[in-house]
Amino acid sequence: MKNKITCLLAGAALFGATANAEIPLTDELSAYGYIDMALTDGEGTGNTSTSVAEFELGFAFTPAESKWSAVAELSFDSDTANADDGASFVGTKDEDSSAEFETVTISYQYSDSLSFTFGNILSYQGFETFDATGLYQYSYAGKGNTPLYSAGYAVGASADYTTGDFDFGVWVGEGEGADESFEYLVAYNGIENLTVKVIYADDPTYETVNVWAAYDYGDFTFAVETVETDNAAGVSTTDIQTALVYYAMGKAGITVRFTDGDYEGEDFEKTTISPSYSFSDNVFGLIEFSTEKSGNGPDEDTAAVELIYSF
Amino acid sequence: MKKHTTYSTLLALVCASFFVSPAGLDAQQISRDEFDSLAKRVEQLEASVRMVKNTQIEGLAAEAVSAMPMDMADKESLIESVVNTIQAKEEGANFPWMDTAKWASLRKGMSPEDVVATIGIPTLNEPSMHKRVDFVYTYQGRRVATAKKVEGIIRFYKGKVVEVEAPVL
Repeated sequence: MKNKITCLLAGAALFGATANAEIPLTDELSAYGYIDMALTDGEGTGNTSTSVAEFELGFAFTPAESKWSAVAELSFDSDTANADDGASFVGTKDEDSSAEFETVTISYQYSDSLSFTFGNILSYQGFETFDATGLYQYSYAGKGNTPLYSAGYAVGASADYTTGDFDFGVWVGEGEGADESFEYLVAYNGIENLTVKVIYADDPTYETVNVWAAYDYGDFTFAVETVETDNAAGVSTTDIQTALVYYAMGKAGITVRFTDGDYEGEDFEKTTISPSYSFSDNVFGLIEFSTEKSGNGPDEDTAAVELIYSF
Repeated sequence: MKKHTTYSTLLALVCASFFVSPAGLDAQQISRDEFDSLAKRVEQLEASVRMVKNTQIEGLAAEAVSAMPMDMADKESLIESVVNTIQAKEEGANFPWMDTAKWASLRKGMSPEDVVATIGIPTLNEPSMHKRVDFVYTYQGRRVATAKKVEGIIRFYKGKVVEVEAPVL
């Protein structure tokens, strides 16, 4: 998660205090978050929505001298879809608001290489980050702006070990019934500018293999990803590949993404072009044009405008 | 009472003898040459005393300002220098990064640890929304002398410095 806090030992000077993160509340407690606003416009009437897509507020408790730390993130979102029923000038509005926990964890740093985490933990899966702040475009690669991955946040425990070039992780949580759900991660960072991750998820209701690689070459970022998920009966529900190219031009950038494969039992294709601009280190805006085709259905075009403010 | 009368009588006799007997006065008279000679010696002694005094003061002053320029312009400069030194020490203690030379030594590719070792711990350490910037070190503070707010920024991507915005000091 791109907006993960990078901790820094606190040190206070007479006129300037060093922050652990974005908003230091005390020497040990800091707050951070972002506001994500978006407008999306699909084909036809009634497919326009404006939303505060998400307001996330996180707190990190990181005592400098302790091996223990804690993070709690609250996510609020509200979508207001204008469904033009023709009965009124502005149409009806369906509001869907929610507040939920994202990362809520207590961690123990056993050593510089080994740590243990307990709580509501984000899945290892995915080149595309759960939070909008880490995405190169507005939408996810899946159908109808959904992620390709079989898991998001879940309660469990994880152990993470790093050797520098390699990272290893294992997560265990409660699955359906009495069976546990597992995720395993192997990541390789041994070549400069290259990251490769292999994730295997073993849940009572699905199995997923997710492999992705990202490489920075000059102003370009290239990424490829494959996600294959089988349901409990061993039937493939997702077998999809994605390729992304991002080109940075100073504060501006442009993303081109292609997705192709079988998604929920149908052929699925999606193409996205998304110019973006970093107004500052805190403010990021983009526009996106996507077209997707599922099965024998027609092409569906979607446009989006997004503005993110992080703090 | 008796003692007081005796003193009064004695004083009266002395005064009377002073006015009545010219010989008494002659005994106290000095010649003009003697007088001039004495006056000259007094002047010499006074000059010697002045010289000693001046020498002592100059010596003390010389000791006090031995390291100080003595003309007015230099004295003002000296005061400024002292103030600047005190302010520099205060800034050095509170804002060690307020040093142009330190910022000039920063290079692209340096690690966060190298940066901290060179210019100290940042005021803020924030993630960036820019896709080619992972996190940003911000150094903020006010100059002690002018209260002018200054800010320096260092951006990192994949653990290396990719951009330095040095503060205007």
